[in-house]
Amino acid sequence: MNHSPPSLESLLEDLSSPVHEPVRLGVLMLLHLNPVLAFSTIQKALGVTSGNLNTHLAKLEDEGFISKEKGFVDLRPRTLVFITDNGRTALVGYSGLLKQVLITINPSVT
Amino acid sequence: MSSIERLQPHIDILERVEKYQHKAEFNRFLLILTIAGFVAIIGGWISYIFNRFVGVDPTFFIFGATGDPNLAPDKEPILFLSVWLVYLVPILSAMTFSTGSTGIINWNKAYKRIGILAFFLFLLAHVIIVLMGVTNSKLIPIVWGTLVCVGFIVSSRLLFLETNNSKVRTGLIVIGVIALILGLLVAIIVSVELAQLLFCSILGVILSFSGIISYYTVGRLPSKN
Repeated sequence: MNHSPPSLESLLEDLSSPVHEPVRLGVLMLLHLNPVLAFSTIQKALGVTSGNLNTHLAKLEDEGFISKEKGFVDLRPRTLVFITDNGRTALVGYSGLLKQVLITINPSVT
Repeated sequence: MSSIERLQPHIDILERVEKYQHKAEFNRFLLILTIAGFVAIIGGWISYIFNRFVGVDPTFFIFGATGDPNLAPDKEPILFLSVWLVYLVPILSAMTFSTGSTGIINWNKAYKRIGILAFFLFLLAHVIIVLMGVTNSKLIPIVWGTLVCVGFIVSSRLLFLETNNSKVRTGLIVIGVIALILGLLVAIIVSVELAQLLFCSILGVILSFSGIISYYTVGRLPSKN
């Protein structure tokens, strides 16, 4: 049986998941490296507006990839964002696919 | 639109994450540097005040010098090392549990190596002090200055490999050389109490202020642009 490597188009098709959107990918990657981050820190790090970030966080929360905790520090509201096990699994899966795509585009990528 | 163009926004966002992570790790290093500086200042003053007014140094802070020969490091090595561990606790806590705007600490390879190196040099310095078996020895500040200098120069190399930031590298080498010069100067000062105060306070001030200044000049989080 001939197992030809998957085409670039099919790989790109496979990438289509809630993680694929760049801001969501950035959020999950940041939370993978830092298990908890403040909303404002994520906003600064990714350079996005709060409205835009809120929309993406809501989507990730719906998917069960992150959880949020609202609280107060010195009477000022603060939202902490955590990654869930589902979020880590989704990110690892996505990273593997992304690596395959990059290797297909440029085989010298390791 | 080509495949690579379709992925360009993803590559851009991952580069932002990488940039953030470098800044976050560097800021954690600065936090520890600053705490170490404050510990040195406080320890130096406690050591000086007790030596000067009580005659016994409860801290054994820097050179193993003590007003009471029965409490010399070579007579009470376990006590000497255990008192030092009290000083290390805030630094180790900062390394392990520190939270700040960036969240829970997550040490990368370079910082772990620096931590291990610092701990190794600390133990080496104290083994040398205990082996020398001398109270108020003038050689001890040179041992300390040399080891601090070695620590900072190696750290600067490791951090440079990680952040590729020549300002950081130069800054750390300067701190290390100052420590060595201080060690040499202190070794020729007659008063041990004064020598302890000078070494701890000046080095502590340098560490703390360099940590704070570095944070505001090179360690701040990237802006939105």
